[in-house]
Amino acid sequence: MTWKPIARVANIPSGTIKACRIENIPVALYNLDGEFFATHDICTHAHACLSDGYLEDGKIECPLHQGLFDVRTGKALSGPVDADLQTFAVRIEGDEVLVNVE
Amino acid sequence: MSRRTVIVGAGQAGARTAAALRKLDNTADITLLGEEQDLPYERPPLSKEVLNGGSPSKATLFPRTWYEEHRIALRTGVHVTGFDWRAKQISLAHGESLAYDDLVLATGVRPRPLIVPGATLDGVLTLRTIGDSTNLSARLTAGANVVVIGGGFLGLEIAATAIARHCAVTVLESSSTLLPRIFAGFLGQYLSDLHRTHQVDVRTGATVAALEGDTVVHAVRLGDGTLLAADVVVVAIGALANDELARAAGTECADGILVDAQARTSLPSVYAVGDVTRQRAHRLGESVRVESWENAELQAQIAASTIGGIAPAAAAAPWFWTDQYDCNIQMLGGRHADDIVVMRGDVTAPSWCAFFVADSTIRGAVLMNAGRERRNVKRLIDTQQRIDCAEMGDVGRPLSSLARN
Repeated sequence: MTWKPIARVANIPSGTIKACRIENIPVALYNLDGEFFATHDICTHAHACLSDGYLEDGKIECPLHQGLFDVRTGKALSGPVDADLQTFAVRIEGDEVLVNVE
Repeated sequence: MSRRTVIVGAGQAGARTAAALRKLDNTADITLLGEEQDLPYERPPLSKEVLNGGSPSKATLFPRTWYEEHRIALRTGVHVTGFDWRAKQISLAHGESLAYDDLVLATGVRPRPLIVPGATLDGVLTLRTIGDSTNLSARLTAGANVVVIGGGFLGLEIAATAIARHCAVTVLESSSTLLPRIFAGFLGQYLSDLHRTHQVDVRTGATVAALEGDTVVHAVRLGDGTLLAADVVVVAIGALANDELARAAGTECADGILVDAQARTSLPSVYAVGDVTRQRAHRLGESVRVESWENAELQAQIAASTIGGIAPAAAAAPWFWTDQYDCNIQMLGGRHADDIVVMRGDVTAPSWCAFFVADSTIRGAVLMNAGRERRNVKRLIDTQQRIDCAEMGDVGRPLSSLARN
């Protein structure tokens, strides 16, 4: 398991998403009421950054064609998407958010 | 014995109906009949990624194993010749017949043919199927003269893709502006300018007199006598409903199978979904065909709910999108010509929203590269919440603060 520091907790307010990159993998980092989650940042339907999307109730909606995913599990919920989103493990150490992309 | 539903037409609406039925009823007997050989697919990528050389599998809805896992009897390459609603029997080519309890018609539409001399020459194409898309894609070689007849969304997406392939592109539109009926013409000038910026020769008010060539098309002759060189001609002038099967069986049709809000046709136990339907009452007007990805999704859900005896979800503002160059344009609801237009952001900026407002409520909206706002805008429209035009137009006020639950 390789944990990589990806962001500072203070830089991702509750209810927001931050676009990050680890070893060339685009990662979207979400703060859901103080709990952090990470998914692949590219929608499984078309090439769009989910970090530009609409976050509500733990679901991220792709800004291009409204594919909807569960942020916690990556599960494709509705819209033109059937493939689930890759998720990554997240850990907090002090003020740092660490993500494991392996 | 489990209830047997047969779905005729294995496009997006047909396959989604099968999926929705399976979700509602684990024991239902579901048969999906398709005329094409391909697995059911969606059409939005056919004028974009697939046309630009992407894999056609991009458009496939579910892999073949999905149908087996969900016990949906998918039969492709099957031609249905008729049905008898009294006997609840469907007849297939080669004399086979199938019994049903519920029948769903999802036979789609076909391109409206261009009726001028030369319309059958080689090099004159339409775009509807995966095969059409890959055929056209192979002809979009750098430098080729491509003439697109029809300046609707399909024609414009084809033009944008042809430009990406370095073709020389002309779009011919018979109306005096592009998209005159979409939001009362709101996007016409914008899209003309967009395409001209990308070197498309956009000609409005242009009629086609003939296509010229010996066996292969080499020119388009316009109504005013102008001759345009053409290596490829794409006809994108709308669609005709494949409603012959329904009509022959006695279903009420009017260039489309007439359905109510529950996807019911005029015949008992016969439903219709997707592009082939003409909806008796719809948010966009009375008796409209709504040929959109979203409508195919929604009507599939509605038909499955009706068959399952469940009340379908309430109708919401219709949604449509198009991708052209680096523009993702999303459209919600509609517009009356005398609605007030409220701009949020400058129309020359890469991202903006336009709202069509009457009596302090939003009837419709155009979101230019602003998909992130779609949820809030949809909520404002669906709840018919009263809004303040100045607040809506203020980019400093987040829409989430204006849209209440």
